[in-house]
Amino acid sequence: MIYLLPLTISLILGLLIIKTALNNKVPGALLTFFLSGIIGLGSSAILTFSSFVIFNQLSAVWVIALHLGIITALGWYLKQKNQLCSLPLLKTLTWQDGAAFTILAAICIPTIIHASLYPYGGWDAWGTWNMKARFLFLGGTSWSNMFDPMLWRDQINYPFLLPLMHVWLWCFGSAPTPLVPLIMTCLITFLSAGVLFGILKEITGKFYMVLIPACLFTNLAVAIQASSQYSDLLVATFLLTALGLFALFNLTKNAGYLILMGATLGMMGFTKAEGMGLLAITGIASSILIMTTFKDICKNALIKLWSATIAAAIPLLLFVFIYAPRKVVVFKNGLTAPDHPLTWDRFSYFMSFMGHDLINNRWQGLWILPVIALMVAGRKSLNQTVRLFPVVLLANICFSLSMFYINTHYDIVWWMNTSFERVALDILPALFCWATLALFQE
Amino acid sequence: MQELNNKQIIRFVFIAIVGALTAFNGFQSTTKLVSLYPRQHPKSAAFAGKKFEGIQKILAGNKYIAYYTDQNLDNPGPLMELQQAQYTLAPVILDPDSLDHRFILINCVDVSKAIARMKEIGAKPLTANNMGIILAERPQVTP
Repeated sequence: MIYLLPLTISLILGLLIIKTALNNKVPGALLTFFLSGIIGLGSSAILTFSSFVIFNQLSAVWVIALHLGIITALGWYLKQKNQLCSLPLLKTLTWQDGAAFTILAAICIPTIIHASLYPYGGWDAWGTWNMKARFLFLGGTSWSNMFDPMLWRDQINYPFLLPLMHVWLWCFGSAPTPLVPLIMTCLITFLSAGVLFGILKEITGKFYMVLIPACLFTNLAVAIQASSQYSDLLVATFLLTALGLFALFNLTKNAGYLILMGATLGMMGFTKAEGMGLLAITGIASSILIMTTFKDICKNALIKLWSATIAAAIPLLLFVFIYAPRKVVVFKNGLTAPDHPLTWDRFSYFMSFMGHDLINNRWQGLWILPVIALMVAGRKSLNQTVRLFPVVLLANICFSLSMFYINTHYDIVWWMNTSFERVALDILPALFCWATLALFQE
Repeated sequence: MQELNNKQIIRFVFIAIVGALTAFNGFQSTTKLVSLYPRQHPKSAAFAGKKFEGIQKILAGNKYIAYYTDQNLDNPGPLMELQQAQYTLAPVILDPDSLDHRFILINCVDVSKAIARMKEIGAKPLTANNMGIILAERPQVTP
């Protein structure tokens, strides 16, 4: 129960950031709630990291005080503008919102059951993410030992937003209990489903959009991935949130959404290596779209987007330039490496694996359905509101697939079998969001 | 009007498919997981990392300790045990490639091999548990 306290603090922090960025012109109550959750948790992780940068160790007192200080400052700022009270937002809640909230909680049941079967998560949970969290929490001034080359099996070159989220919750307890990563993985599933529903409901106005996350998160393959305590669903949630916020910016012209989008992108980059790639792709693509579509507010919009992105990406920059181990070889360019050249076998295995996997029974048509919907929607799938979705998703698919093919450091059979499903999950919620908006947006 | 009808039909069909898929997925996932629950639950308690609990205090202050096993670490099972031991004992770093450390964590299936190895390198058992884990010390080696 003690962990409800940091979660509530993160939620309040997220809400205040959203209200400040949007100048109190927040979207619907449920979407605001779910955005507050994801942005608040990401912000808490970044604030927790500040303790390691300033004191070279975890100082729970500092982290909690920093949270309370920022909440007080934002609250004071909003009070000055007479925007602190959230009662008007609560008054917009309807029975449909209550029903949707209940359904969203219910669709997490498969994830919760599977997570409770494996309370320590999957291989990368104890081998990478939760182990890093234990280094951060227990390591004192030796926390950076988690980058020691001897731990080369444990993805030491990956950023660590998810472990910092765990550490934030552990600040309120005395030991690094495995209950926290278990709670977090279920919570991220709930937030991901909620953001997907919230964006669709906000743009289409249809209550039955709750079926979209329901279809996605009741799937057993997705539930197993979601419950594994990995960072992939977190990347997927940040990507979905960023693209959804850009769609809302397109509709409202409120550049405040770009501040939130930038913050989300910065957090996504600090989550995982794939997140760094998505940060670059989404940042560049959205900037180009802003410059070509919104010429009148282009300068203001770009400043807001990039200042927020850079601010939220400070931990990523510190990690890349200061902390990340230098001598870890995880990339071999098959185009130039004579000892690991690209082969036809690698290409044919890679293509056949991908083709078979995406239509595999375990996905129950989750990849086929949105693709057909996009084909049926035709030109509407490229309209202005959703234009960023295809650009980012296609660029990411090309980038990821070329990495799988060109990086011959890893055996393709092992790599595809262990990683392809996770990389695919990164884009699945955003793909569903895009397909549904293409069909339903007026 | 015709276009509007077509649009509505397409939307209806899409939502109907999504709804049917949700019902199918929900039913299949829940029944499968619930049926797994009684059989799988003990497995979750058998997290190999638990075998290594209780020695963290002894190792406090050490950056590296050696990890010795008579199993091949190229195989997933023994590698998993190493990784779970690393998870449990973090922030201490386990070195599976060298025994040149003061403390050696021994995880052997064959106890006689563990004893022989300890004799060979002049290590003394410090503590052990009933799950085959031995923590040995080489006092002559400074950390």
